[in-house]
Amino acid sequence: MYIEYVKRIEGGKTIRVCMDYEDNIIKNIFFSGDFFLYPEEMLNNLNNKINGKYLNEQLKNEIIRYLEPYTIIGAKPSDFYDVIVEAINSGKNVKP
Amino acid sequence: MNKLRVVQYEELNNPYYNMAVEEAIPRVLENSEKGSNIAILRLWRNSNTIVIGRFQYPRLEININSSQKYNTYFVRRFTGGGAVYHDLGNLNFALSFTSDFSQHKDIKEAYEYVGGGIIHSLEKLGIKAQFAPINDIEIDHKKISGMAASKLKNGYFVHGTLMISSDLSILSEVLNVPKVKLDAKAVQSVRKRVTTLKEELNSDLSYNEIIKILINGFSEYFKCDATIDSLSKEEKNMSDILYRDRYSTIDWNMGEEYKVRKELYQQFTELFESSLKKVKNVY
Repeated sequence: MYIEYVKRIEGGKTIRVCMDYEDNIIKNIFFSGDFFLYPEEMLNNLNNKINGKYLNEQLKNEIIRYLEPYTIIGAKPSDFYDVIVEAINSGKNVKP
Repeated sequence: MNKLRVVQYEELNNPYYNMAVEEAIPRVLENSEKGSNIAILRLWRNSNTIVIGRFQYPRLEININSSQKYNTYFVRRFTGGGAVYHDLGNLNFALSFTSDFSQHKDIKEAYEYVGGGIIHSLEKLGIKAQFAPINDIEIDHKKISGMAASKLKNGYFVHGTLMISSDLSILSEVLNVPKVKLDAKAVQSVRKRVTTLKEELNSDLSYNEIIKILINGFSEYFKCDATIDSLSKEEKNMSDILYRDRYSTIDWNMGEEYKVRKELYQQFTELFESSLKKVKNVY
């Protein structure tokens, strides 16, 4: 199932997630949005890190641990996990 | 003693080269050993171009039908933030500076510092503008300028748009702004959220007039003399490399998602290829 979801962070920026979600596994995930992340190169590594993973607390901790050393403006590390959860819960099956 | 070096390099018919120059100037500065108390201000324009943020994908940010209708170019920049529309009624400013020129504890402070130069310049026109965190400048809650920034090895790069007489109807047609973003700003459309100097002054202001105002404004605000300069040989060489390897390539402009979901990018690929062909005919 392909899912596309966009979340506005309160007092911050917008994070969008596009991903495939099959058998509780996240695949082909791409975050996008108008937030700022430094160093900029780190976002692609985050996408790669999540690909093929199950949605669970362990993934949440991995995302937070990965992003914490970097500067993010307009979002917090946990927002990147929350947007995945909200995307799945929204039940929106958008045709790509 | 601090100095402001002003570069007005622009390629009106090549947004990809413009973006290469935009990155080349700070890259050369951060690797330079001399003249670190110099800030470089670039003032320039693009014609009819959508510039998407580093973390954005064209298919999500650009209305392809309107983009085809208006023959807009699109290009990805190297800084984060949201998509913007450039035309000849929009002036772009870019400041590159090291901590020897001005020290800031973080990037948010750097936004405020550069935004202060724009606000000070607008005061000379009798316009009262405010810095609107995180990265905007507004007049009566309407956006006149949006900024984006990057960290340099020993300083900051901050660039932004200043809408003089931009065509706001095209802007609102070609950009896909998420509804959640408009809701957060309590507006129903992009058109209602933005303004131009022309609208605020109720009169036209020439590009050359606003250039002079900005150079004087930044020079006063930074308390240093301004010198008009051209692109250095190193900056030109770096621009050529970035143009060839990054900004004129389909992979950079489409982004990572393109490699996995190519089928979603067919119209964008066609638009990009025809735009690049147009550029290569004139460049």
